[in-house]
Amino acid sequence: MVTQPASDPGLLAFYAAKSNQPRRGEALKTGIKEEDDATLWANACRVMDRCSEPCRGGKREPAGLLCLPQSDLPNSFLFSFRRLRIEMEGEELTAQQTALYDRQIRVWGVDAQKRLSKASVLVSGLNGTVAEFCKNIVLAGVGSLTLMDDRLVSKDALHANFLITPDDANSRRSLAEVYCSSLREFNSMVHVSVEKGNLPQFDGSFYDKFDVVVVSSISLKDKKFINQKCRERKKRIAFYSVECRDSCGEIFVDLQNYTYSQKNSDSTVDCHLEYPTLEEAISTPWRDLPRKTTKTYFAMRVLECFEASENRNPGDTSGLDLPVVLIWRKKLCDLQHVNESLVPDGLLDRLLVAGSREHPPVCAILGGILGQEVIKAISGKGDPLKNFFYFDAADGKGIIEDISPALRS
Amino acid sequence: MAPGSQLEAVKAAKVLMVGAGGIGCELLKTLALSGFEDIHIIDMDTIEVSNLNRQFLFRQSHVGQSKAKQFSVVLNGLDNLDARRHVNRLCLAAEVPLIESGTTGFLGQVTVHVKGKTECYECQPKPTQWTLPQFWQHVKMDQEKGEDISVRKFEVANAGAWRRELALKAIPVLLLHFVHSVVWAKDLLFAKLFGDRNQDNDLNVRSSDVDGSKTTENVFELSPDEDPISYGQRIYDHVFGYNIELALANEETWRNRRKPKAIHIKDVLSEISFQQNGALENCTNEGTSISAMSTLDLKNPQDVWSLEDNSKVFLEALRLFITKREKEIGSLTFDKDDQLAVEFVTAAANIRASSFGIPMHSFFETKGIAGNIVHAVATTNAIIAGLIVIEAIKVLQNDFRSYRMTYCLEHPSKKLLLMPVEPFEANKSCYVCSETPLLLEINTQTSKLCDFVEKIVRNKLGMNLPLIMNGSNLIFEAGDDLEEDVAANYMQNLNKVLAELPSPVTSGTVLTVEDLQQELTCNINIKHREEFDEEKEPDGMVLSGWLERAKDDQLLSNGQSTLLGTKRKISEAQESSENLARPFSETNAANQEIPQQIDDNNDDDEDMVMLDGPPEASKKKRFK
Repeated sequence: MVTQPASDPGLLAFYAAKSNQPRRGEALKTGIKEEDDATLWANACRVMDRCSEPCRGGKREPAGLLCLPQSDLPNSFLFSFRRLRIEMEGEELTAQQTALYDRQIRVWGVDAQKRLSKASVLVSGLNGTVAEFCKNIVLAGVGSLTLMDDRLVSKDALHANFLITPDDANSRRSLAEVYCSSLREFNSMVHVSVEKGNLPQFDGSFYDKFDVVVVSSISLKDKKFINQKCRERKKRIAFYSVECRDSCGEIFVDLQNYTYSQKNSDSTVDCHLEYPTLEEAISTPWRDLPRKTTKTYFAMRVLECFEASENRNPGDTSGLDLPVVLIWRKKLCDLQHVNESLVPDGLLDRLLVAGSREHPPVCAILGGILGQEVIKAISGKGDPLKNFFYFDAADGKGIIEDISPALRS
Repeated sequence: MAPGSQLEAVKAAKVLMVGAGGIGCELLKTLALSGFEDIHIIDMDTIEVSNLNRQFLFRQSHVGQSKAKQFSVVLNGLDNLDARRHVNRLCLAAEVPLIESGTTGFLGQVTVHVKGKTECYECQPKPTQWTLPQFWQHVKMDQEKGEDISVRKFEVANAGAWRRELALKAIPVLLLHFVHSVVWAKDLLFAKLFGDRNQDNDLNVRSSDVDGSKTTENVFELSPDEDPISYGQRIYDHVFGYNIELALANEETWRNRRKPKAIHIKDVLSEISFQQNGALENCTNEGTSISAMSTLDLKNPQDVWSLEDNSKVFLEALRLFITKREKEIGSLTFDKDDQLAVEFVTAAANIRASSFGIPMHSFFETKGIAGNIVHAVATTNAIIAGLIVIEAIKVLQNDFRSYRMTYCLEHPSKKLLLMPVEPFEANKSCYVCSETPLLLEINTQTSKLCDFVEKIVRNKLGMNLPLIMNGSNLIFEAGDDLEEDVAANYMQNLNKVLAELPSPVTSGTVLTVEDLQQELTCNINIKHREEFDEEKEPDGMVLSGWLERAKDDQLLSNGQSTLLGTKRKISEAQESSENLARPFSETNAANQEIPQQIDDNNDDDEDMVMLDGPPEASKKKRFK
């Protein structure tokens, strides 16, 4: 809870003393091998600068770069800067940022806030749930948010959506454009922009601009494809998908190989999680899953098969589809060697009738959970959920399911 | 948009939102999106308990008819216990369903309270919010026993009921010591220098280490020909130097404790040169934007200042108060949004901390402690608002079998991040929603009526405008519209010992306490008792009847073992509360098997979680 600020003069003095007496005036360049260390070094000097002795009258005066050959430094010194660098990354939060984010900084700390303010999020497929999510991360102060959805705003989109006004409904603007102008008003410190086009058609390098990709209202095929694209990049790009069907919702998370720090009673432990891709996760044999696995998981897979086979848009369903869907259920359950009762008729019917309609309170809940998860993933603080989340207003449960092929019950 | 009958119910509903803070904003949006068309809002800031009686909603339009009656459901997004209790009572009186909520950081909860169907908000005892002197007293006792100050006591003193239930959060001991310094800086020093000087400074008396006698009284006065800097130095040397030396003189005090060291200004600042120069005087900032940090070029509120910097801020803030905000001196109260006030308190707390060997803290951290700032994240508020609307729709459809209280957790408990729990049925001996008489053990020979009014009627029963009767004799009535002679009479009564009132209150007396606004009446049986355990019964009186006093005491004396490890997460708290939960057919088994939470054989809504989130769970029954 009590974090030592990066610029603690005492700490630095301590390390400086340990590092064979800093000598001023020597060339900084000597001894620097890797680019990474150079940045590190520059940061170290910046820190030192800020902590130079205060002169009379209470004002600090820059003492000039503290220059000493890097090779002179014991490892502990560099290590401490490596740690400090994380805190020093980018600029300090501005006074405006500190004031605006005061309450949440008290929850997740300054470091997390700084990381958040440098992160880029891409959202493809806009609806009420995604609107809630966007609002949450924009308010939280994410660095940038890029919106993709070329569909024109329709009256239908007004439902469950607070980012669209009735005037927008006739504006012949795209959903992304309307969302963008509304979201900008939420927080002027966040860079919100529109990207035209269809995400699956972008090549891999496009993804490199982002730390987090969130998709919604797209087919299973596209989800798998985008998920795979995120995987193929050198940098780790977190992938999320979210769907809301009236009172039911599903979130999928792929953080690849994810390490985070978990705070225990006295110490901080590094935790490691390995996530499967969406494709890997849903290929887990149903018989291998724990008996208590939520039925919504199975129902959603049945609907995906149905929608794919009929070439429907996601959520383009009605109660009339039930007979065909029941056939698909039988096929799937037979294939998986499970009893059809695993996927109750009532639940399937409810999801079909709901179609793409969203229940606003459920949007708020899903958008809230997703927002928290994305913040966790960016900041590296807190246990992230692995790898499915379900909410159903009918029973009020918000359930985490870990569905990974390696997992055998 | 909700289908069919649900939509009808939603459209026809007249909803009252109480509180327009973090939850309120999210709630309003979600209500509007969900199709609600008639939404009334009362802002949190306008319903501070101090002005509850001035609120239109809370005034009775007709005898026995509260204005709350017109609403289909009341949704609370409040931040304090008193207002919650008040709204609970109004809802009970008007028989309007209440949905209650609260959040801290990533944690939150939503509960449903419908008269005749579920428990009311007050059926479970809510922890008393201690006053600072009580807190202080406990801290002192702990220190005398050589114990570290427990997490619990900090929570009790500083957190509201909801927060305490939710955020059993680890507070490092050293931080707690720092909290002392902040309390000292804010409630003693700041109040002394800038507040009402005539007011009793309770902490001053209590910190008996310091000789707070008359001789020191004048030290705090600024003499007419004294310049602000010398005044500041004089105050500095007095509180951090002289007072500490005085305290050190009493060797007994420090036998088993670490001795503080006296700090004098000359030892810290070799040269005191505040540039009374252009930069400073040109600063034409008014009011709360005046800042010692900006004069001293201390930019980052996250930085921990050196002792030297703290001393400079101390002197500079004091100087700025005297020169720029002279008119306010004598009437200032600490406000966390008052930059200069927080700067002063930060500096003073840090200098004191330094004297006692406690780590110093940043402006940012000190502000959080001094202002008792609630941790808040928008996402939790959004989730909670969604859950409130889901419950509101059930309430409007009178679908009481589906009512749930829901906990939003930071760490999943048995896979659940959002955990629904069946509401409990009303506590039959709840003094708020049932008519059970209470029992008060009190020393009628020594306790004054004012003690009773303060500690029991206001603090315990949460009444704001009480009226107290002994049989048919009215012995006290609160309100500002009383006749002068009547008011004078009550004033006299307040200062009388119970047994010496015109209609004496002794063992066997039944007092009737009423709050007309809250439409709440309580009968209290008085039982005389000579002695009270100073530690366990600090009030010097014990009220019982509607709650498990034993449990409450246990909370105070044995909290560590039952619910508060030093470092707990809510999930663990949930785990432990499971041990307290029990099947509904049982009445008093302590070590029941943990009820199965999720029954996966049922497809329907029967697979309910049968545990209670908050710690005090032992006396609950499942709602039928």
